[in-house]
Amino acid sequence: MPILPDAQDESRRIATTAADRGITLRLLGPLAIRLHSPSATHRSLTRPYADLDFILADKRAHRAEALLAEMEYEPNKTFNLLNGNHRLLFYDEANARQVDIFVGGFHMCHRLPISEARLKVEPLTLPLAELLLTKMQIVQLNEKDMRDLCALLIDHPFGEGDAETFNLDYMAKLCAEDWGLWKTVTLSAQRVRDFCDAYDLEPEHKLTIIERLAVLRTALDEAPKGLKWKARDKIGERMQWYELPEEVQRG
Amino acid sequence: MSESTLFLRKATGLVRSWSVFDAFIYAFFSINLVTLGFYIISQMWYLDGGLIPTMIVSGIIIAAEVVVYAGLIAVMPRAGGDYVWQSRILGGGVGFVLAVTGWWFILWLWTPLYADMLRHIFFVPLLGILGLKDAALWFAWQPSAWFLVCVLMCAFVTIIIAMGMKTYATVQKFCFWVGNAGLLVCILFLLFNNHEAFKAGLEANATKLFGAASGVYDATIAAGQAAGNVAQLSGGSLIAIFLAMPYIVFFNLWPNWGATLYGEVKGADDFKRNFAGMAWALGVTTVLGVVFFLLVNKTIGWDFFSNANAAYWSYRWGYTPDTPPPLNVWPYPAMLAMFLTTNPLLQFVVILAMSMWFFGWAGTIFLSSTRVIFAAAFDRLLPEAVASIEPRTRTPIWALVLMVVPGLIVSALFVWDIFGFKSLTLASTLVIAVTYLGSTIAAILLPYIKKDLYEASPIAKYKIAGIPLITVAGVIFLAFLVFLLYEWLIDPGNLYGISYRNTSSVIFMGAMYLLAIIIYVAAKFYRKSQGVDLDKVYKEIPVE
Repeated sequence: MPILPDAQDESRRIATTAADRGITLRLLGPLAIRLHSPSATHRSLTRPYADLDFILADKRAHRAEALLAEMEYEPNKTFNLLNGNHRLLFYDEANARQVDIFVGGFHMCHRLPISEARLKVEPLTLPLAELLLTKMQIVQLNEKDMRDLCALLIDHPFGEGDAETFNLDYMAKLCAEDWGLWKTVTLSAQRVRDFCDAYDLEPEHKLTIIERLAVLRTALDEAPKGLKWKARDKIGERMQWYELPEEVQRG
Repeated sequence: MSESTLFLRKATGLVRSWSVFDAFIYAFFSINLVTLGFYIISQMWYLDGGLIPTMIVSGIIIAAEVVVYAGLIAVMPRAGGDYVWQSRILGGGVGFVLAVTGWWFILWLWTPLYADMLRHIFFVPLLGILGLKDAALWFAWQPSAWFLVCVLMCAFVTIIIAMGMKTYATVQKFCFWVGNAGLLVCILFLLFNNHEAFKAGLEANATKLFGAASGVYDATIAAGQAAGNVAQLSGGSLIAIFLAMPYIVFFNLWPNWGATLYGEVKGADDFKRNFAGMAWALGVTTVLGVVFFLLVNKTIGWDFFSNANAAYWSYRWGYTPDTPPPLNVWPYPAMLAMFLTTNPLLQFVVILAMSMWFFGWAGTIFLSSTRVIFAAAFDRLLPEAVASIEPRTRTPIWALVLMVVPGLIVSALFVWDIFGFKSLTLASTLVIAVTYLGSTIAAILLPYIKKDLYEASPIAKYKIAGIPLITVAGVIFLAFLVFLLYEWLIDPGNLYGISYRNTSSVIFMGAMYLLAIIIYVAAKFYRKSQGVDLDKVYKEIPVE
């Protein structure tokens, strides 16, 4: 079956084909958010979907690599050879799209542990808590990230469990284990609060965003912290707490 | 952090495997004081250029090399390093021949050398401390034991490379801290003990561990003097100091050894960061070397140390075949320092910690080389299979086979001294120096041949009297390389053993260049028959 021109349809096809082969491949990024959040189609929050981002908990990526090649994606051979134990890149020339696969965990400005069990929470995408964190861990948020975050926050509350809810306990636990992640997530929350006025959203949506971010902030602040977290907190922003991903030149 | 950082990020990016600190450790281990340094310094017993000025002056000159490579990396941070730069600036033929000889073929010769260091800093002292004197001496002297160590070392390196760059960096970091802790203990022992304590410790330990005859101290000095030891710690004329450099560069010419890996290092397009990583490695190692040997002089005594080296190597090289060294193992400075105690547990722990200088460094023998092989394969000069990996373990299996199998063959030739291979130690350095010569010429010409690339690069702003810094540094380093090559190849003083007068050396090195030329010409014609013009490939900067 050829690659589908519609990114959403194609992302479903890849995830389901992988599942048929026993590979747990889950979607993340804007397309995953689009699948969960009707508000992503709001006139102020729409955005182009150029890339398909997936994640694989298993460090042995060779089956996923073989699958994508079989599905007629062109691998970036140099990149995959050198980085394949944590990242894979494939291209869909006909639709000018890129497929990006995180292998064995998510690592950009911060690391997010992604277990096989967490990947199985949702049939197609990362759980909502991780989806939100993959956006909130970005130190240099861009406008597309802001739109994604607004869409997620309008449509989903924080609460217990993962069913169309941000698993608050899980998010608070991750941030209580990693001061750097806590710092960036709280800074991102502040920025979303500050900048959501810039979008032409309904007043009740803005209010929802602000209220939900307050719930998140309270939970993050109240979660019990360990000695390591407290020691790192003493150092604060004097030491860089994040990494800045670099661009990959395609050539 | 500024609140104005919204909307800066461009798109999805990549966190590269290695930090700048990881690159620093790789560079620091590449000019490894404990392995390369101790090993080659011990062989310089017949050169009268002072060790300390030789280390300092060569270190200053090699800083120019650091500028050259930091610049080249910043302009083209690509896996494959020298191969990519030379092939894109000087042309494919030159780039391929110089890169594969210096980063691939000659590493075969390094295999027995790495293994020689491993047996002397790991197997021999540790087995001696464990009371296994016969096993220790078997490893110290038997060619079959040396070859066994070659095999074990290749297995270790294969495993550590197969684990991937991130795991490699973790192992390297562990070895860095543990190895330095071991060195600190040795330094403290040397600092807080005196020469008399050393003499007593030597007599006690050399006899107990290796069965040396009593009176080993005086006998060693006599044997070293009889061998013609003239090594000095300091002093020496400027000419003598420069004549010691073709030896010392076996140890300190490599702060740029990670150059082929910079496609996998964070922020590799930042000239200052690249420079800092390599320059700190060079500076710290030089200072560490000076401090360590001053302490050796204080407590062990330079006289004893240099004579022990002379007695050992003159016997091993066959100059004094009837006079085995009274200290009947290689005079490993860390082991001599630990002779200042008779506590075997402490000796064992410190020598084991010191062996991390080897294990954190061992991967350098093949890791950098695999990237050159990959880059040449991506350019289609080598079969695509060479750049393939075993899918489950992600091991670059064919690249490693191309390193390990010939490496073991050359090891056998070296270990059993077939065709006079034992005399080729410094050829291991010469061939890589020729590769560096190519990259240095490429660096000098870069601002003029690839003007657009240079002007768009972060190094374009660095100039001295209006001349690009990379060109100025390149000319200085080029002069140094030409001097080294002249001394090695012409060798008017007959000091280094690999000149045109050594037929084995000429044939071995000539065969490597010939092999590289044959592969290049064959690949060019083969690809042409497939409709692929390799000259066009070299006009493009490779993708990441």
